[in-house]
Amino acid sequence: MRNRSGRASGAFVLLSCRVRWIVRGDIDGFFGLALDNLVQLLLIDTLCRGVVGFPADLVYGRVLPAAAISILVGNVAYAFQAHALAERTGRTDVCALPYGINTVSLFAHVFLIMLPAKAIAERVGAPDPVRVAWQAGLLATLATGIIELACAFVAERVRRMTPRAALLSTLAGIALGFISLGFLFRTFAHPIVGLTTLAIVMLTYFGRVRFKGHIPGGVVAVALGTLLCWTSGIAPVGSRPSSAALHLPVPVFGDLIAALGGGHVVPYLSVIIAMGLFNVLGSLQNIESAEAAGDSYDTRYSLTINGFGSIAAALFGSAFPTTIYIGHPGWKALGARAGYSILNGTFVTIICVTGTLAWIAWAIPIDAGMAIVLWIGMMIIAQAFQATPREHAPAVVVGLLPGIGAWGALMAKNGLRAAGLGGPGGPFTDALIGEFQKTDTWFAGALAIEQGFLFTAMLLSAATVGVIERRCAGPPHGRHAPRCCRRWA
Amino acid sequence: MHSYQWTYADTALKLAPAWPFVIGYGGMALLFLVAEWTTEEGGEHG
Repeated sequence: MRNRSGRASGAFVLLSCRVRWIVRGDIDGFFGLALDNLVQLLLIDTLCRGVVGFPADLVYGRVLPAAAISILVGNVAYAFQAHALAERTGRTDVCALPYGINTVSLFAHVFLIMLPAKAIAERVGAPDPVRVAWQAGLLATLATGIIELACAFVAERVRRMTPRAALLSTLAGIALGFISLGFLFRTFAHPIVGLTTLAIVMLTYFGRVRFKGHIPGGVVAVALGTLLCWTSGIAPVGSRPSSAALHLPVPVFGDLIAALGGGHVVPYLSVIIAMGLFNVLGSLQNIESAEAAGDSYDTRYSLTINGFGSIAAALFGSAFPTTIYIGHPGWKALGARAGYSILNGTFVTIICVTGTLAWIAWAIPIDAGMAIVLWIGMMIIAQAFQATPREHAPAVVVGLLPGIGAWGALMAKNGLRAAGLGGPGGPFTDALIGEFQKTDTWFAGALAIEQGFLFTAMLLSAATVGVIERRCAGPPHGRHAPRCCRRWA
Repeated sequence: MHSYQWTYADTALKLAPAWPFVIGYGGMALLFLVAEWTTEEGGEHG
């Protein structure tokens, strides 16, 4: 459709640029992201009820519906952001930033804020210690959201100053330990399900083929995985849930005001500020990861969405902040675009509001879809090497190590807990360090590297890039310097 | 491969078939073998 001057008419250009909201790859992406979110929601259920002692009414009636709102807000906003970028650039391969509940904050809020708050409330004889614990969690989530919002205005500057190798290798360290090795253990613990679904994922994602009948690889993997789980005795998981019920999210301003008056901010400020900065840093790394994969998003806008997600969580009753997830290059390579984000937000909202989360977890074990998450982990690690200059490979390796070390520390501590320590069997003490040392295991070093490993990885990797570029000894020189330094010079 | 047994303070290789792994690797091999007939060029990924 051309006009007389031979130029394409405005209407035609608009039509040709129109980007579809959902493509086939979004189905694969949805399975991966929904599985990630499902793990977090199950952790919330387990930890809130099992560790802090929340009643089921509070978890299913307040916390989970609020968590759904926070996830929906972000997922829809990031989908619109991706769609707008696609329309603006005329590209059809733009993938939305993945987003959900922050795992690290989840554990920190349970063990470092809500549990101590409950203990203090019990000690001073508060009438409802569990409610006090929940209110402390709400306030911490609100404060984290405000920190994320505030940092949105300076974060881009930090990102521009930091070498890409430092940002991506930190993510790769988390992906290698906490995602890939974690799920590899699970794959080899349940090989019938794990290896078979891994074969499907390798075929369709590495092999770039699709099953006949246009069935997405993710659907085949999860369907076959679920079938194998039921036939091999992995499913159903736990006892049959009770009937589902509708729980619409409602604002909890009264509890937030009560929390403000309860003096819950100052005692936990060290945790709140650390977690807030940790979230911002993680989000920055993920925005950089998306840019390295070809999708350049505005840092301020992306962090603002994240901040509003956490604030929405607190306002409706979830004590858990949200974050931009790791794995954008993986989801992009799956073929996911903007639709997977909306599908995930809708799915999470439905299962949380209707109380069917327990049924899904009962019928579809994590094992059925773990191969997709394992693959996402592999893609994040690969990107750290592929999207950085060859000369910076040593810096990427340096950035990987603290994350792997932190995962090793976690494994060691889990082992101690399994042996009965860190609980009623006895506390963790300095004596353990000596015992580990007898077997040439330097546990003290593992514990030290675990603290603030995100910052350690980024700083060490950035320093290594500086040394490679010889920036520590004056202006960059040598044949590699101009190319490698051009972005952060 | 993959079969293990507990020793006093460690684990050691056990020379016995690890049947779940036989099935798992078998399933993996089968899926790769029949891929020529069950899949077609995708082009969307990567």
